[in-house]
Amino acid sequence: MDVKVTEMNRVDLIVVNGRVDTNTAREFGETLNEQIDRGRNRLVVDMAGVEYISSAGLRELVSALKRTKQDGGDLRLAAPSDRVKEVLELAGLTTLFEVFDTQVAAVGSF
Amino acid sequence: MIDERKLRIRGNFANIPLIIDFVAEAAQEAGLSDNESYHCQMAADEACTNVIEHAYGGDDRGDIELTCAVSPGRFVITIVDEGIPFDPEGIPEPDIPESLDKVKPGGIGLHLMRKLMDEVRFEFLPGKNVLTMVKNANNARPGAQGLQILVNEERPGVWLVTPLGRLDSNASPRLEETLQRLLSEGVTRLAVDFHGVTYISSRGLKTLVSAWRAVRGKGGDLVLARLSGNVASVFDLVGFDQVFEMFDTLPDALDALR
Repeated sequence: MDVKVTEMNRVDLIVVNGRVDTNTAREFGETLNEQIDRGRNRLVVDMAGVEYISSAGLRELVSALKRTKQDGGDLRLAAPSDRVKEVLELAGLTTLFEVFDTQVAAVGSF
Repeated sequence: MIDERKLRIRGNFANIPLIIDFVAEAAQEAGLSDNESYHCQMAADEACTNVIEHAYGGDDRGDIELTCAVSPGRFVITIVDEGIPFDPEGIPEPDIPESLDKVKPGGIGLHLMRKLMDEVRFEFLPGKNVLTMVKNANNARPGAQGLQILVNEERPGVWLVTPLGRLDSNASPRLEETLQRLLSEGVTRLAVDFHGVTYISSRGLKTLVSAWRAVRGKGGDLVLARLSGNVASVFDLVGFDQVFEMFDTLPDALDALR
């Protein structure tokens, strides 16, 4: 897995690639938390390159979502694959996250 | 008929990808769709993560034994650990959360397992915990797992049978079927290449002996090639090295069938 952060004016874009599993979720969560710690609470997570996400990864997303909302921000998801979408649905998380088909739409939504 | 394959591995997070690969391979060989296979991989990941996290309380505190069993229409994953019983009732099945506060991060894995698989059962036996997860899959079929059998007519009338994998009591009937089919097609000259056989049980030996009898009765022969290690010792042990002609190379074995 690799995570790349691009800070923009109104929002931070976090592009994740690869497998977000038990082994990599912590690094993913740390990246999200670093941004939130620095007061960056409007986050877009681009999931187009995520081939696999387990509950460990979902946990990091949920706890980061909670933190951004507490700060008056939001964490929105962009371009999840059908598989990742299915997992979000099975986990019952689709109602919590705003999901956009493209990165541009997600960034533009803020 | 049920086919099974088993993996015993140290319970640490770094081994999760190996566990996933093992399930993926078993699911593919069982004929599951990509989607069904993905569900099984995820469920196994979540289950083993729970074992390491909750039953063992961390990396390298014990082993995980994972079995994939296939029967017609069913793919069954069994996960056994020797840690502290992990009570799934402690984690209620969450409804679709209307609000963030209702999401209990710890429950996501178990919830996913229940959604991904058709049955999820926990049993706590003395000294071990057994988790059974079943995926109903129309295309699931036993037979392809654990053992692969290649069949080729090497020379006119001379057939080479190459089993790859374990000739145990589960897999031997498949070799039996293959040999029976060849015999019923009038084949009487057979070589069995053992270079890819990692284990042979008494059932496997019986299969070979009865095929040997059948072809000898018709004036043919069944010879063996490239036995080594444990498998060769088993033949010696039961005295079958006196029954079968054995060759160190394939060409020698095939030449003997002229």
